Amino acid sequence: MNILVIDDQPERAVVLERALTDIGHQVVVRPPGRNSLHQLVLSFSPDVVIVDAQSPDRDMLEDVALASDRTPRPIIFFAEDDDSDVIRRSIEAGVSAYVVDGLKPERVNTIIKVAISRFNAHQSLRGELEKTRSELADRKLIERAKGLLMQHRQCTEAEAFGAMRSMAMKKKVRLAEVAQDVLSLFET
Amino acid sequence: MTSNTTPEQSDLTLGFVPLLDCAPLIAAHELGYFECQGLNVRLQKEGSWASLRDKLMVGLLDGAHLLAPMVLASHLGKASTRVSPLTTALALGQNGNALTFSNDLVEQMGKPEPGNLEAVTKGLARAAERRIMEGKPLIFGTVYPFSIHTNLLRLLFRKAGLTLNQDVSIQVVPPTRMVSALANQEVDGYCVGEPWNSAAASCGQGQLLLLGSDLWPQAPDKVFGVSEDFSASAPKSHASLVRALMQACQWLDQPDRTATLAHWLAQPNYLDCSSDLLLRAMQTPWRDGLPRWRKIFFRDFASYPFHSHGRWLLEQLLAQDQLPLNGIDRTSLLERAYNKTLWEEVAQQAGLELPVTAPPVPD
Repeated sequence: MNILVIDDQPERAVVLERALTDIGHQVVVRPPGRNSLHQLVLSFSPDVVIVDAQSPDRDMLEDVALASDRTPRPIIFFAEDDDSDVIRRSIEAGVSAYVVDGLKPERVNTIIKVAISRFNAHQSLRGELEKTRSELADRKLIERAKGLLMQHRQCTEAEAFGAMRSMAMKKKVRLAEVAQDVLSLFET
Repeated sequence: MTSNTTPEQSDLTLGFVPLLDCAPLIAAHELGYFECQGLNVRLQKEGSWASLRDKLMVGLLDGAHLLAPMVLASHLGKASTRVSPLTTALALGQNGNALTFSNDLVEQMGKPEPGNLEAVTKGLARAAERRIMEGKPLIFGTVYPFSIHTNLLRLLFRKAGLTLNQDVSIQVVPPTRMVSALANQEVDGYCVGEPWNSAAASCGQGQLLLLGSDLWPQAPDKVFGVSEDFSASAPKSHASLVRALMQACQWLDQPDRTATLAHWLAQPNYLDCSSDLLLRAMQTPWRDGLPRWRKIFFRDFASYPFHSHGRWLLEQLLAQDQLPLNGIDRTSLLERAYNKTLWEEVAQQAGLELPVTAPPVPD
């Protein structure tokens, strides 16, 4: 089948493109932020369009969907009774699909499931990355706060750290939050 | 709170598209009106109207700021039996849109006086003819196929004697990209809500020549939409939402609200733009000296889901967009899609008047 992928996150689009090509589909990835969606759909005539649910391009696709019976239409209107779970999971994962009328539901579902799994994988990867980033930022914050405490209280590193940790435990907050308080106290 | 008004569901998520007219949702949230109704509401920004519709229909959102014709369109055509069509009991005001034309087009139209509908339509007819001769027919941007914006453009073209898709065409462009589409000559003009008209004017990319109200005074626009499933399974939650939003609409219509509103809306989790631009969009006087935005949220029953509005929009969907009615009776479709009974119940409990006449609609 001809599949058009519209995604503002290029790295995710590449992964999805490869996965769909691997199972034997023709895939075109549209570069983000361009306005010639009408022409692209008419020239490539996709059977399925996979689009990032948050993309403002979606409303342009809705317009294209009205152009003729052979242009892909929002899958939400096609969903067969047993597909509703797939549709719900796809919307939750941020995948929206447009399909042309008359396609076999199983074939469309396979494509959507591939997209869901790639979007979810990308999401958890991003989650990991953000977690690592914020842990690193926390550590830097704690180091700076420790330094300031040592300077102002003329104590050892271990004592400064111990003071912050017992404060965090007493107030039932994260160590980084105590560090932030220390910084705003001494750096103003 | 008495038990007979306790909402069935109190944790609710409402969606909105970042535009000035999502104001009732933001105001109700910021003013604590939802909390007063015993509701714990979370607001969620969405990038497209299509996304709001999908999430409402599968139940991932409980309610949303929505284009009125989308509620009607959800009842038409082929639809899965496993998703719920949409319904509304509250309009989110009237007016608020404007038409912006590119500098080149204004030039070709002979620089008509802004707000002079006759001069604008005459100039447009002349410019359209010239552009057809040049092999580059005019293209106008709208925000969504089923929208008041599309309908306002159609009204303008009809007044100018232009045939749609022959002399001139309409294309969907997301509101946030309107100004750049105008600058890149992808469109020659557009109809959009504020602040995207003021934004084009302030960066010198185009001129605001007409307000939506010049074509249709007190035109319907956005509504507060929910799924029929939600309305049926949590009628008290729905009523509480309508009550809170109706209060917000009343608050917004009072004088001295613009600065507070601009300050709220500008925040990153809402419109994420300059509060100066929002103030300008709401305050700059139009040729008649009135504020240019001229959005009405509550007075003149601007929040009432008039069936006359619904019927007019429905006829457009059937005739112009060729959506199939599938044998559904128009009146029962309107009863389902435009729940005026709920509006009337909420208004009566609050001691408010009910409308006695329906506002006029275009021919």
